[in-house]
Amino acid sequence: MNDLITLLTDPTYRFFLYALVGGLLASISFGIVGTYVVTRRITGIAGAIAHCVLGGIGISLYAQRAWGLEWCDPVYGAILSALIAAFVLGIVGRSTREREDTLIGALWAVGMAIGLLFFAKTPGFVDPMVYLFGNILLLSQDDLYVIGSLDILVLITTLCLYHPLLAMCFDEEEAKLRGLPVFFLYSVLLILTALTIVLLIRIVGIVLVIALLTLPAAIAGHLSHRLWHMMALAICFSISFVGGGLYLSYNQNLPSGPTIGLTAAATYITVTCLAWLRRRLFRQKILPAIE
Amino acid sequence: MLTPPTASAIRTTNLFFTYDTRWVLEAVNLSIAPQTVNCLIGPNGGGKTTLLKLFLGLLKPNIGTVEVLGSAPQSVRKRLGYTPQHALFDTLFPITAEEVVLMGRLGRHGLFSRYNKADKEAALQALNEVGLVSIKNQRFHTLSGGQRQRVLIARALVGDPEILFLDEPTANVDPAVEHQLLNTLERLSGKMTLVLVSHDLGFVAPIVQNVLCINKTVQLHTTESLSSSLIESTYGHPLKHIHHGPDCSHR
Repeated sequence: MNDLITLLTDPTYRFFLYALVGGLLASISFGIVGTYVVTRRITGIAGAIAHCVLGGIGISLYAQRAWGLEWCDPVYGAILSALIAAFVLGIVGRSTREREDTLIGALWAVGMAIGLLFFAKTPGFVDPMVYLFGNILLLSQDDLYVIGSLDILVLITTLCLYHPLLAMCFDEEEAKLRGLPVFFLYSVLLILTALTIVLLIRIVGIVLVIALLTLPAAIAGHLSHRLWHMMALAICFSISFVGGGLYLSYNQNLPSGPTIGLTAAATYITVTCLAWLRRRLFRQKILPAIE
Repeated sequence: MLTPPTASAIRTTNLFFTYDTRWVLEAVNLSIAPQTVNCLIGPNGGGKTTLLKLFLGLLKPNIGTVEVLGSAPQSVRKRLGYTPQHALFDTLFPITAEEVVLMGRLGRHGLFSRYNKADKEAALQALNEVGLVSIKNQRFHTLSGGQRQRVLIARALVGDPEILFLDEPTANVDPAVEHQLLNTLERLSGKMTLVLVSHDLGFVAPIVQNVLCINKTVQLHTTESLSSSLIESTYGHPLKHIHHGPDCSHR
């Protein structure tokens, strides 16, 4: 424990402090947006958006190095591709008769393939692993500001649109009948999801971002009566996964992304099993006792 | 009621509807009088739910018109209440019964506003109407099927509708609960127009005045004039098959 405190206060290990603060800040967006993703059942869409981001990163890296477009930072490509993916899945997906999960699978593959092709043709060495699995220890002070701004955007949107978004997630038809702009609300949700994914990819990477987006919320869902309880709990879980995972990865000298992801998954599996056991026990022991 | 009495609560003229290439509804001309209780019956795929969605303006007819309370359905949505089947909802959604009911008050004060005191009182009153005030803080999905269905009815009532639509109110509920629901509906029947979809005509028979037999086309009958041969022509089976047949294809 003592060496952890030294680690956080020692200026030469500043990156560790940034990683911890970044993780805590990111948990706010993860918890809130994750709750919406889980309750609106758009985990598949979120996964496809995350993987499409690789395409955007690949294209902008190529533009930067092959065409010398210095301003074309990968983060712009990432945001643009995430928004395009959200648009295709959300808006086109709702208006065609094509099955949504088929569209998700197709976009998922297309995004990855485009990214890897452009990586291959980009001059110089590009390591896709950085993008696929992220590295929370590479966070800079600027990244913390970006994540903080995302938190503010997510918090303001949720505070202003709490009840309409709740209605849209629970029962879209009723929301429509009550005259709510369902299409606008769904677009807001998809845009928030896309932004959250892009900005938080650098923490755990494309492959694992879905774990941190959905698992804390899914666990919280087992324990909450109201949507905002679920959000608050999901934030707490996310904080403990990032903190705990980071500590474990430091302690055992493991890569941070997978450690954080597995901490979340292990907790999710444990909670789900406990919930199942509780129901089973109730049915076997308590119900017969009453009868 | 507040609105001037129109000749009919719902009227369709020469309505055709298709999802792709097959007509689901053909040449539907019907008129439902205000303050009546109406039941839509017919085989699965016969177009019952489609017709309900056309009444609510969730779908638009390909040919012909739907008029609800004298206007296009979309423009009078706030005067309509809709109770979907409770079994359609996500069983893990964290929401309390009261929050579900309050949803019926959305869209009254603008997108960014919160519920006010009047909304909360209306929600309590609606829950009282269906006899569920005591469970208002319970999670929606810990309630029994019948309780959930009544919460959804309360949600439709909280907006003071002039027409209440109910889709299969007795699907997945036991006979005792059916009886409670029937009592609730009977109390409501004098105050508003009721339109319900049901497989089970027996359940609503005591309070229904009109039966709409739907199988691509629609035939409107008063309960007095309803004979088993008319139902047979709608389902293509004798009536007893619908209710008791061991190999009944409609269940």
